[in-house]
Amino acid sequence: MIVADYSEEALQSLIAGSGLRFDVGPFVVNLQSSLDNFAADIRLMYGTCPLSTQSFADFHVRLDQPFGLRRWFRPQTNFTQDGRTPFKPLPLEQSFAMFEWGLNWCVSSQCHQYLIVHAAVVERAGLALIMPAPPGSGKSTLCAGLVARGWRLLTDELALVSLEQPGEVIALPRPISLKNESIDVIREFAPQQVIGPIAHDTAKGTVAHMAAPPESIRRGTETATSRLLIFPKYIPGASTSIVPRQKAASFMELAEQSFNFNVLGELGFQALKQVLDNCDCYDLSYSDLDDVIPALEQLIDASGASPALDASLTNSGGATDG
Amino acid sequence: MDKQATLLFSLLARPQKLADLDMPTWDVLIRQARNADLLGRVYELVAEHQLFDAVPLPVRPHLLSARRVARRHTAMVGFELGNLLGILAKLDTPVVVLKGAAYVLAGLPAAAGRVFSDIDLMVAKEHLDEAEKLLKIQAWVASADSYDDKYYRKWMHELPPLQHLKRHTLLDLHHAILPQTARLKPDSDKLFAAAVPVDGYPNAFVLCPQDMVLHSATHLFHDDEFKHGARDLVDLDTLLRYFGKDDAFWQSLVSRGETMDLSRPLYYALRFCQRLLDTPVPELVMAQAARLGRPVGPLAWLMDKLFERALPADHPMCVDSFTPLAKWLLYLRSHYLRMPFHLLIPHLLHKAFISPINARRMEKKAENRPTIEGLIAENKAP
Amino acid sequence: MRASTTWFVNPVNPLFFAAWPGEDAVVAYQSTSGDTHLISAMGAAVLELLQAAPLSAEAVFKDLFPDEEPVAEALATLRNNFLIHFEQLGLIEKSLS
Repeated sequence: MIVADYSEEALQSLIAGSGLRFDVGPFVVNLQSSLDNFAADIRLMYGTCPLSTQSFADFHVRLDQPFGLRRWFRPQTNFTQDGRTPFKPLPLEQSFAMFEWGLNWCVSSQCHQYLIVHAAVVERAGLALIMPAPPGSGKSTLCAGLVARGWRLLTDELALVSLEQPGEVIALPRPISLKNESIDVIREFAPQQVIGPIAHDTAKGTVAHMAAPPESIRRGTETATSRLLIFPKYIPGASTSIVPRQKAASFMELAEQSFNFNVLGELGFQALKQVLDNCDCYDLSYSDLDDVIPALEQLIDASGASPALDASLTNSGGATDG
Repeated sequence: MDKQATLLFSLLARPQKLADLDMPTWDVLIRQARNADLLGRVYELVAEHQLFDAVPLPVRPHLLSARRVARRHTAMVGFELGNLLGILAKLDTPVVVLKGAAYVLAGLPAAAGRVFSDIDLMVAKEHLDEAEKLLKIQAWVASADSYDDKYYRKWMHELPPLQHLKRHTLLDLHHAILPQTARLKPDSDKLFAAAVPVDGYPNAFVLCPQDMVLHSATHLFHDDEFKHGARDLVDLDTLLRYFGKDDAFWQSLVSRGETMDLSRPLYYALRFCQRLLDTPVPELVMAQAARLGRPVGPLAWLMDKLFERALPADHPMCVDSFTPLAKWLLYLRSHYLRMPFHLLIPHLLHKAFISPINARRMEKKAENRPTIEGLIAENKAP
Repeated sequence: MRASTTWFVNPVNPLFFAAWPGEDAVVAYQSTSGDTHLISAMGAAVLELLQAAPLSAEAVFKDLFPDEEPVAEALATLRNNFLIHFEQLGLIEKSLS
């Protein structure tokens, strides 16, 4: 059974009661909320996720209106995990965005069974294209564009790099966060994609999410092998340009964008080194999705399983957990 | 308090029962332990009793994850201590390492699975200024604002918390284990005199076992940070079980408490460790501690009720309607214990209107938490 | 700086390297501090030597450039641009034995 098998009313009463329990990638989320309409957003954005029958949930999270007089003239939402609040309350219309950010916080602060990098990952023919995320890079737009053209979505925000299978990336197919102009760009580029509620005036400007395609969610347990590391930059009017860059410098960028590189110590270092062994690295500038997507398809199809990949498979001693 | 509210403590007291937990109980346990900063401790107990195979698959990543965080914290504390002791070697005076960092340095079981929010060191009061100067040169700087700064320097038993500019590690530099204004007056000279040298560092000492327990008890039962109440009680339990294997430890514990003017917190420590964590305390020791440290009449009953609320995991399911009031009363009490009332009034007013010092300090620590728990918080690659 | 000064990577704070063919920079990771550094290939070669054994500046120079004379000027450059810099970063230590 999937989330959307329930009617909105049935979901609402689950969420208001003991909680809606569903699978998101490798995690089980138990969601509760006293907000009036949260079921509608969840059904739209997570509708194809499997319902979980497991009695252990990785994250028990809640969205509620904080108490106090403010709730009458400035309604707000509060995200909590087991009574802990990682963020200050946000305006009520940002509830869904807050759920997304809250879940990001749960994963990035508590799941050190993976090396977690702030990056989007998409897959084609079993090979993963990783796009790290310095703010304003336009990686989410490109990620949404690639996914709308049939690439499989592994993640838009949190790349889960395996510590057990060197170089593999675990899927966490969740909505893709689009900001400001990207929302209209994707609406126009891929009108068939589902776009969720729009939150204005967030810390990141206007935010809306594009739902992960059902196919990406259905294949959520398949890993992908890291193969391309691309640092995208959206430059208005620019033609597509793909320029090779050094692995050592790319390593530094990924470490910088990692949430738990340092928690993992040597294990994290070895995992990241394996990713760089596997990946060809490029700087990318683009402005036109119709131009850049075929170029990336060509690039990944031509790369195949590289000599570096074969070499690394034979000489990787495997990181130990010291 | 119902059974679910004390689940974490009852399992820490009898870890063999971890072998038979069903999934819904694991679900509750992991959440309570995570909020109490005791998930790493649960991992260590599972490992010690070789129960990992009995842990359901979906639960395991949470325990492994907590172990990794705890090991990283331990490694960081070791690294920082190496640096700090090197910097302070120029003082040519003993440096006593306190609390969690001491457990790491002395290789005590209490360090296993523990996470740290700061490092605590103590030097004799006359060396404090020089120590601060040496640390400042090496990028350890005061992180408090000017009111906090004055408050610490005038009334407290430590400098305002220092923070490493690059790694953001927090350091509390003490010259005593209680504020100068506190009613109880443990003599720092006696602590230094009994301190035990640590192999490998010419200037490093840890408190002797009895003083280590007394300090941990004082910290827990005289401080306002019940945020870490559960973890601190587990520290005490682990210390008592470890040192308690030696009869000589028990024989001198109560009299040492009396000498150090710390009979009251020692009584609370023994009572609540025994009550909540089944810590084996010899009957005679308990009776002696009660005779010297037990509050009289209805106060004893009230303190029982207060601490029973404040000590379990900081989790919504461990809370009843009395818990918030209990925590507030204990907060007031901690300030009453630290300074005479005429000093407390302006301080409390100042807190309410301008600068809530301890709340703010906790916030600072909490701020570190979202990014990756405490110490290693913003310590990303350059 | 006396001639008998030796430099070494303290085994308590080991370094891990990641390097790829044809690149002029190397990643050096110190797990105890959590610091990651991007350093020149020459710098990495120096660190690798000092991780294997404590060496004087002269010995490092001779290992890197076996056919060259360790003139004072070259040694000063090695000390100032590499050894002292690495020491400040906490990557290596020196002993005056």
